[in-house]
Amino acid sequence: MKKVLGVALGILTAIGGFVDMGDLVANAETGARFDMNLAWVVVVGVIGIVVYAEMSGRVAALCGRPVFDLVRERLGARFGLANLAASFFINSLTLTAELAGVALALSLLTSVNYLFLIPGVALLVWLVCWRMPFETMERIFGLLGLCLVVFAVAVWKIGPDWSELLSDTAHPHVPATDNGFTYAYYGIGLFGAAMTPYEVFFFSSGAVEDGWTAKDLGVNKANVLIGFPLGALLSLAIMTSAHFVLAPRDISVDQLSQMALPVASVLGRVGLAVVLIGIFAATFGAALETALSAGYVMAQYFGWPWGKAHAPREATRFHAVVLLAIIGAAVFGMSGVDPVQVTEYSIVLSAAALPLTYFPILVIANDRNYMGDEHVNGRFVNAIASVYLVILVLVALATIPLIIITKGGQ
Amino acid sequence: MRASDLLRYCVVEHDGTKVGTVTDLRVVQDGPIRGTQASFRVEALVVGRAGIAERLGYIRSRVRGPWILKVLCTRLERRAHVVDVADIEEWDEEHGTLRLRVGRTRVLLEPADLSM
Amino acid sequence: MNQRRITGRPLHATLDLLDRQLRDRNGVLCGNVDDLELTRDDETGQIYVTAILAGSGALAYRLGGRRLGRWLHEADRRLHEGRRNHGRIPMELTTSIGPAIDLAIDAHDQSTHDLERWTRVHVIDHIPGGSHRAGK
Repeated sequence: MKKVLGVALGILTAIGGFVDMGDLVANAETGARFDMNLAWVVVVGVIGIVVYAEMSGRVAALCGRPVFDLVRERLGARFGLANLAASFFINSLTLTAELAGVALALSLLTSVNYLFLIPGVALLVWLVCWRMPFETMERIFGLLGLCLVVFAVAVWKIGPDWSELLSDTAHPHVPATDNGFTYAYYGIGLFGAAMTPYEVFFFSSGAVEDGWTAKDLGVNKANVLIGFPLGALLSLAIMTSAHFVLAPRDISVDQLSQMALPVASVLGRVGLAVVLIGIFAATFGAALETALSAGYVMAQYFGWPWGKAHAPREATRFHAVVLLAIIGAAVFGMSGVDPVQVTEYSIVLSAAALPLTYFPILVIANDRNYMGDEHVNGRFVNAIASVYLVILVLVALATIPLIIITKGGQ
Repeated sequence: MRASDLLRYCVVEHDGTKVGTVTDLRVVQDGPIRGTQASFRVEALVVGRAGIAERLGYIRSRVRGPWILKVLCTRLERRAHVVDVADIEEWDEEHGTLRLRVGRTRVLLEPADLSM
Repeated sequence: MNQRRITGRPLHATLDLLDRQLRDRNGVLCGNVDDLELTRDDETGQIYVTAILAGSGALAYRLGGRRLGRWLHEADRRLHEGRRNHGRIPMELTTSIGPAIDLAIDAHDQSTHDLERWTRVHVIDHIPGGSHRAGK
């Protein structure tokens, strides 16, 4: 019974932890601007992250090494360093976005300007990374993040014509008011938001630290195969609510308050409070993961001791990097930069950087020396993973041109 | 010298025809005992163009999939040679070149070496 | 230790040795294999891998171009002048070669751990609470 409870808790945490600032912005924006015509991207994205996360977890359990360590090993020192630079930069943008998200949610709850809240948020995030019981905090924030279910409740309350909704979702097209380029640009953003790289860095590092072995593979699969898709449904609920409430009123999403608007307008004050708690928890949890990921990628490339369970004295450079990353992100966030814009760039660039880390993991998941003959990728997984590798490369090639052509999604 | 130095060396036949760049070193632990272990001897050099297949592991059936990557990597390594260290006649450290002996047996990185 | 060999199978330098994670006798992570030291026996013509090279100096040498890499490496060497075996781990100290390479040394004795120590003294120790392991 206890084991079932543990597994259930893990799944619930995975659901609540799936959504972060990137998902919020991406799903709300596309729901408001493109209705349900980009919903299929969320489906494609979640399949991708499920395959990728499962492989990373399996690799971590069987050879005890996390993603970025293996990135350097197979790409070599030079390409590994280029990858490190790109991943660290994008990760820092994401961290800024998450810190801003927490501050914005708090500011809507307290009516204090979010810029004044950023230092406090940064301090809190750092304290958890430094000292507090991480696993407990992760559980708390993951479960609180389930408050975002209120988006689904709002959709249900609207009482849409379900068959029409499903039909619209299944037959996407580029709306007349936009062109193919912006459609592709927002699609890439949505894809990057679903397949966030920091998630895999964090996930595999945690698996190595917790000493996962082959016995844990089953639980890993359950968390990933059940938790992530349900999390994706939550994302789609955000998109649907934006489609029903914001799109008809021509409200474009460029502030956090607008993302919460659908819930507020349908469920009133209570709904608003619940959704803000959910946003706070989801973005705070994501900030923790992103801050630690900054440390993970740097430490794992250079071979330094790392780990959130170590006392900071035992992993000094790792903790120094985490601290500096948080400070840097907070300073950048306070510089007045538009948090929604930063989020948009972080998800689009995340999508572009995906092949760099995905590719070595795919190779290692096929390495018989590391995985043992029984746990190497089967043909089915390899087939899907290969298709995704091609997709990721195409997306990566298209990203910079699209940023330029659409002028950042105008 | 260092591995990173050697991995930049050019390899030419005795008559000067270019064979390629050193892309990998095959090491065997069968040398004289140092400390408590046999020392690590470089038995052969892999000379080719890129060295991707070795670094990723697509050799000796270690990494067999996915199909698309395996095909790409093996294509790239089709012309790679395995050069025995004994076949090195001349070390030109100044120019970073190795000249091979006359009449050495040409050994291609055979299909059997690349996972099929 | 009485073993003569820790691995019977042939290794590929770029796959099995270079860029591998290094671990000390207690499992503490202590760098990556940034380069390998090769020694040529002029008499027999044999080449031996005699040491693992780790640390920023070795990495700079490997990554940098002819000038910048060598310069950084020289600078690093001067900084650690007099330090025996700076960034150099003789191959006879390896105890196993797998997804990580295990060494029969203590990470804290290595000069590559100096930056870790420096960071502890100058950064971490100034912040309260650094010696407690975060609980679960």
